[in-house]
Amino acid sequence: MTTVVAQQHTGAPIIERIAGEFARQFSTSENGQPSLIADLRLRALEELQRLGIPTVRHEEWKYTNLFPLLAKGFTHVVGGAVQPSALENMTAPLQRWGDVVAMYNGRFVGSRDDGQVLLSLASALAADTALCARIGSLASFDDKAIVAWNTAFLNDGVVLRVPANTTLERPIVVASVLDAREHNVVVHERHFVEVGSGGFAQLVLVQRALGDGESLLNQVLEGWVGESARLVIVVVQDGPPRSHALTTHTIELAKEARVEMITVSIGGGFVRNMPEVRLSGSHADAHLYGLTLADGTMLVDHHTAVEHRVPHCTSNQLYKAILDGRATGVFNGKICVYPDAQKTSAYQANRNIVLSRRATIDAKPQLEIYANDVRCTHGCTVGRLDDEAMFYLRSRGLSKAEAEALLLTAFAEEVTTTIPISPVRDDINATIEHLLHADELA
Amino acid sequence: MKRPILEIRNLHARVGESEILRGVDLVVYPGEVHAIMGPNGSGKSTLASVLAGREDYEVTEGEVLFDGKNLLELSPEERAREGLFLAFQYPVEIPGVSTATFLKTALNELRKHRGLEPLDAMEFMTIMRQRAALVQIDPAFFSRSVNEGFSGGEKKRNEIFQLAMLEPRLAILDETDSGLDIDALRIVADGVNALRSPDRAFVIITHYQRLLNYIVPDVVHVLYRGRIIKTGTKELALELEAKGYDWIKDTAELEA
Repeated sequence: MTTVVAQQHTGAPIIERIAGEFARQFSTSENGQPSLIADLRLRALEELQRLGIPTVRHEEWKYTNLFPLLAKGFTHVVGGAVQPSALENMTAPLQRWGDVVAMYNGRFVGSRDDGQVLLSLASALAADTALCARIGSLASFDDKAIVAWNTAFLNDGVVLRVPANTTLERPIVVASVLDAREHNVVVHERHFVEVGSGGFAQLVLVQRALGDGESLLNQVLEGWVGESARLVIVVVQDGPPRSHALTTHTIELAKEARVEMITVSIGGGFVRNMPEVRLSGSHADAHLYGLTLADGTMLVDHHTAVEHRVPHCTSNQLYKAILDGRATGVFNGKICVYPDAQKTSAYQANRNIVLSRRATIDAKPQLEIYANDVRCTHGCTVGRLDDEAMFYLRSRGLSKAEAEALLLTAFAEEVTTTIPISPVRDDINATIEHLLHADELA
Repeated sequence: MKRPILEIRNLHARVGESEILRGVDLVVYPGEVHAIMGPNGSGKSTLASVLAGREDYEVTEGEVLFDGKNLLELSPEERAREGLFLAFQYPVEIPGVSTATFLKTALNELRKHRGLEPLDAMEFMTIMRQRAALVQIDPAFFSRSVNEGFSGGEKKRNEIFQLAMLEPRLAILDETDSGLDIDALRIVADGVNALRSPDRAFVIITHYQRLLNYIVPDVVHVLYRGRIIKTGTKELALELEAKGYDWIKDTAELEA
C-alpha cells in the first residue's frame, strides 16, 4: 500500500524570497521616501506574510493556480539602465494610439512629467503628502495578497490628474516595458488616476517584453472619476507567452460619472485581471468588457467586481472568450448591490467558444443582492461554433476555415467595437483577424 | 445535344435510422425550371439538403452527377464553387457578419475558383447595388448583419439576392414561397424570372402551386414517400392544386 502525501503548497519559500528582496531593496536607504509610504510598504509586506500566496483552496483562486507561475522564480527589479533607442523602438508604434509614457521595469522614464496633469508617482509622492495618504485607499491590500505584494514594493507609476471640465484630447498610453534580458523579472507598477468633475480622459495600458526571460507585471491602478466625468481604460494584453500579468484596476465613480474598461487579452502566458468598480454616486454608469483569445497553454482569468453602493446606477459587463489548444479561461463576475442601492440595473454576460477538447473554461457569476428593487441579469454560455451558421457560409463557397474565421471575428468584434479609440480598435481588430486567419493555415 | 446539369439516379438517403429518399431519379438540363411538389414529409427538403451537402444525411445508394462530376464526393463549399446554390427554407442569422463582408468573401471565393481576380471594393459595390435592385433590397441592408432581425420576407428576398450575386449554374429553391405574402412572393418570383437564362437551371421545391403562377416551370414532379411518382407539365401543378395530394397518394398506392 502506498502512502499518499498531500502536496504542501503553502508558498512559504516564495514569501521568504519576497521578504528577502524587500529587505534588500528598502532597508538600506529610505532617503527621500516619505515615511508614510515606507510605513505602508511595511504593513503591506506584513499582510502578505500573514496571507501567504493564495492556493486553489482560496475561493477567489479556485480556478487559477498561481504556483506554476511563481515557480518560475522572478527577481524583483526597479528601473535600471536602458538604451533610449531600445525603448523608442518598442514604443514608437504606439504613438498612433496616443501620447506614450514608458515605464521601464516599473520606473517612469522620459520627459512626459509636466508636474501638473501627468507626473511620475515617485516625484508626486515626494512633493504631495495628501497623495501619500490616498494611496491604497481604493485598492486596499486587506485580504488581497497580490495587492499587498504590489504595495510592499510600491515605487513608481503614472499619476494622471485631469482638472475639472477638461478633456484630454489624446489618449495617454502607458507602455510597461519589462526587461527580462538577464533574468526572469517581476515588476510592480502603481498608477493613480483622477478625473475632475466634468472631465474626460482615455488611458491605454499595454505591456511589452524585452529579452527572452519570463516577465511578470503586477499592476495596480486606483482611479477616481468625479461628477459627470468619464474615464476610458483600454488594457491591451498581446505579449508573447513568456509575458505574464496580474492587474488590479480599482475605480470609484461619483455622481453621474462613467467608466468604460475594455480588456483585450489576446496574448501572454498567465493573465489574471481583477477590475473593480465602485458606484458611489447616483446615476453612475460602469461598462466592463473583456475579450480573451487564447491558444497554447495560455491562462486568462477575468475576475470582476462591481459594487453598487447607492441607488440609480447602472453597470454592464460583457466578457467573451475563444479558447483553443490547451488554453484555460476563467470568468468570475461579482455584482454586489448594497441594501440602499435601489433602482440598480446590473447586467452581466459571459460568452465562450471552446474550439478544442483540451481547452477549458470555468465561469462563475456571483451575485450578492441586498436591495429589493433592482434589475439584475446574468447569463453564461459555453459552446462550439454554430453548425447551422457554418453550413450556411460553406454553402455559399466559403471554406471551413474561412467560415470559422469569419464567425469568430464577428464574435470577438462585439467586444472590440466598444473601444472608443479608433486607432486602438483598428489595430486590435487587425491583430485578431490575423490571429484567427493564421490558425486557418495550421 | 446539351449535357444535363444535374442527374440523380436511384438516390437513397437517410437521417438516423429512417430512410427518407427511396430511389429518386431526376434529370435537369441547363435552362430548365423544374418544380418538385409533394405533401409534407415526402422528402422534398431532404433532397435539397442532400444536394447542398448537409452532413446530417447519409446517402446509402445511388449517385448524383453535377455537370458530369460526382457531386456527393464534394464538400458543401466545393459544390457552391462548382455552381450549385441552395436558397434555404430557413435562412440562418449570422450576428456580427455584415451582408457585404459575407458576400464579398463568398463571391471572391467563387471567382478564385473560376480563375478570376478578386473584385475591388468599387466593382463589388456596383454589382451589389445592381443585383439588390432585382429583389428590391435597400442598400442599407449591406451593412446589416446577415439575416439578423430580418422579417421572413426579407430573409427570402436576401436568398434570391445572394443567388443573383453568386450566379450559380443550378439554383435549388427550398420552399422559398413559405411565409411570403403576395407582394413578397411577386418580388421573389420577378427576381428569379430575371435570373433565368439558357445556361442556368432551377429546381423549385414547393408545397403549393401558388409560386408556380409566377415562375412557370418546364417540368413538374411529384415527390411522395421519397420517390418521384409522377412527372408532368405545368398543368400537373394545377391539377394537384385542384384535387389535393390525396388524389396522387391514392394513385401511388394503386400503382405500388
